[in-house]
Amino acid sequence: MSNFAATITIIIVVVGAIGLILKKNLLMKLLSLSIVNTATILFFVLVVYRPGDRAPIGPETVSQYADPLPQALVLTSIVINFGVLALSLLFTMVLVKRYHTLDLGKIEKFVKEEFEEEKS
Amino acid sequence: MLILFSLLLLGLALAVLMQERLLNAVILLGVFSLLSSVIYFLVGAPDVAVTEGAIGVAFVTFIYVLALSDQGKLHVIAEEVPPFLFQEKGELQGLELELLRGFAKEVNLELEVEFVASDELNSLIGGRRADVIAGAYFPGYIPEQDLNNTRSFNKAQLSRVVCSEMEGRRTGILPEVEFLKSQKGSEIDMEEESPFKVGEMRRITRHQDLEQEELVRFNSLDRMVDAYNRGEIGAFVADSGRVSNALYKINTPLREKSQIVALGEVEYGFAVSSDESDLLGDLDGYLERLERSDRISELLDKYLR
Amino acid sequence: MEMDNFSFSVKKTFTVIIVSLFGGLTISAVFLGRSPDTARIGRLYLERGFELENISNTVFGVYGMFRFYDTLLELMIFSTAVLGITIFSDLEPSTRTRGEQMIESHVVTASASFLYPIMAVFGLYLAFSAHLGPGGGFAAGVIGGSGILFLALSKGAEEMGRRFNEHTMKRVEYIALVFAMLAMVLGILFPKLIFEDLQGIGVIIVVNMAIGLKVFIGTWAILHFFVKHRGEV
Repeated sequence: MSNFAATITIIIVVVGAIGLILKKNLLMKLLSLSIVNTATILFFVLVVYRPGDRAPIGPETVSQYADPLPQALVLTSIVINFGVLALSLLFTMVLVKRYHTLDLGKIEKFVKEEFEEEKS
Repeated sequence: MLILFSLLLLGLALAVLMQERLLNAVILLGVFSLLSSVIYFLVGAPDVAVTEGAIGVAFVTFIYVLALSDQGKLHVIAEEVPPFLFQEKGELQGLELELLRGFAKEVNLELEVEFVASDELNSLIGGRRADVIAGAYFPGYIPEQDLNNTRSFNKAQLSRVVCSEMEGRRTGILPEVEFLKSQKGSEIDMEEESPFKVGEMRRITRHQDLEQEELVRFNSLDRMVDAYNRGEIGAFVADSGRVSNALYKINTPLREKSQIVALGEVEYGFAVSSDESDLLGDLDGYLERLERSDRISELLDKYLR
Repeated sequence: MEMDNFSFSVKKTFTVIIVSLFGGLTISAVFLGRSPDTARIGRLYLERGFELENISNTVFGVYGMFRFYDTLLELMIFSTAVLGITIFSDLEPSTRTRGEQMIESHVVTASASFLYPIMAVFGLYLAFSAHLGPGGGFAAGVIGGSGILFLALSKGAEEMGRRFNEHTMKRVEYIALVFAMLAMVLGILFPKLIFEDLQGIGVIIVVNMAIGLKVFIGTWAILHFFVKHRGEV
């Protein structure tokens, strides 16, 4: 049963990655990246889940506790995602300030033009 | 239960990617995070649930909303000129408001109008704070800026109000008519019947009357009219939309002695900042359609006659 | 204004196919039962974790005791991100000078001014009790930061900037970072002294508080930046 849920999270990862590739808007790309991140974290938590697992908290004997290792590793990744997101939002802001658009195609065109101006 | 939630999550992810407006996408992403947080709690990972709840649901969503707060708005800056665009009892009214409101509805944006003094228009449209200039705008309004002018929706006169007793005194102008100064002595040869083109600058046909005058620049119509009332200037130049407002403010004895001399033609329209060519195309198309369906003449009858 | 359409090209289509293949492979791996076998290692952590007295939250036992390097480097990455934002904040003064309030609704401002001390206390609680229940320094710091968010909502961005002086905040941030690292290094050099003889608790709480403080100031810096530059994307 948890395998089905984990499968669905993989599908979400693929959906998010396709959005990341195909979307033209920079902020939509960031949103897709957030989806990929969340879904990946979900996958790690879900793939080791067995039905009936309890939170690994309490002084009692080890019986039906969830595996603490993926949870602990994944906690780190959430915070790192947050830092990456804040920083990339800042860079998006810099780009918008300079080129007044969120469209990646337009930004690439502007950058190319500037580069050619510098060369000549 | 778990599978149900995961399927819901998949649907939300698709919904986020299908959104046209960024704000909706951001809020849906917040819901996505909240749901994933619930799943963490269900599968026995409360630590992850707390962290995801604090970061993914609250903080990231808020940062996105902060960063995007100007998106999805049609930001209009305007000078307050009745009956084009003005405020009455706290409510916006006017001819241009009806035009812009219809346009904003068509392109699915929220209309936001900000009234500013005429000399602030220049700096605001230069930055990215404003999309459209309105308020009895005509080409040449802001001399130094590289702006795109839309189609015009109405023709008007550029007029000079002059008092016969105060000949020889200086003439007041508004910043938007300042290009008069730079064109001193040069005659513009403009064919009267030439077809109007989008973005074409149509200025004044006859301006030689002003050649000998000494010009004084004013920041707002009110100040200029005050100076006229005090006799500091003997005449002033404005477009007919503003002149009809100014006439109410001139003292009655002075008004009776004043006369209005037509200097030339101006055409009212809107200006769009130069980097938003998509918006210009949309606005032009909208105005053209209105013109064809006679809606514009209805509005002109309602407000200007 | 920009409309958001999908854009296609040969290269992109190719990438999409590869991504989908990757997804398909992973799914089939999950279904064939070849999921990563962490259960044995996880059990090891569980058993070792329960040997630690006074730490009933095993997840915290893993990332706070056995894998503290992870936490330390996570802190470093977060600090780097915050450093980038602070540097840019110094380089680029905000275009807005007016100290306008963000939200004019009275309901929101009143409830926000009532809520932000509660959030701060909740953050403190999470930092103190990470070894007993869900929580931890990072969640505590971010929840405290969300409390600041409420303060910004209720009192406006200017008040927020005045209450938390930028230079003091920076200093406290570095002190907290250095303190957490120092406790770590001490833990590596004298494991018996720090982690076992004191049964972990005293030092762990202090380290957690340091991490929480560091993250709190980091989120404050990020929030302050985005409040100053709001609406610029």
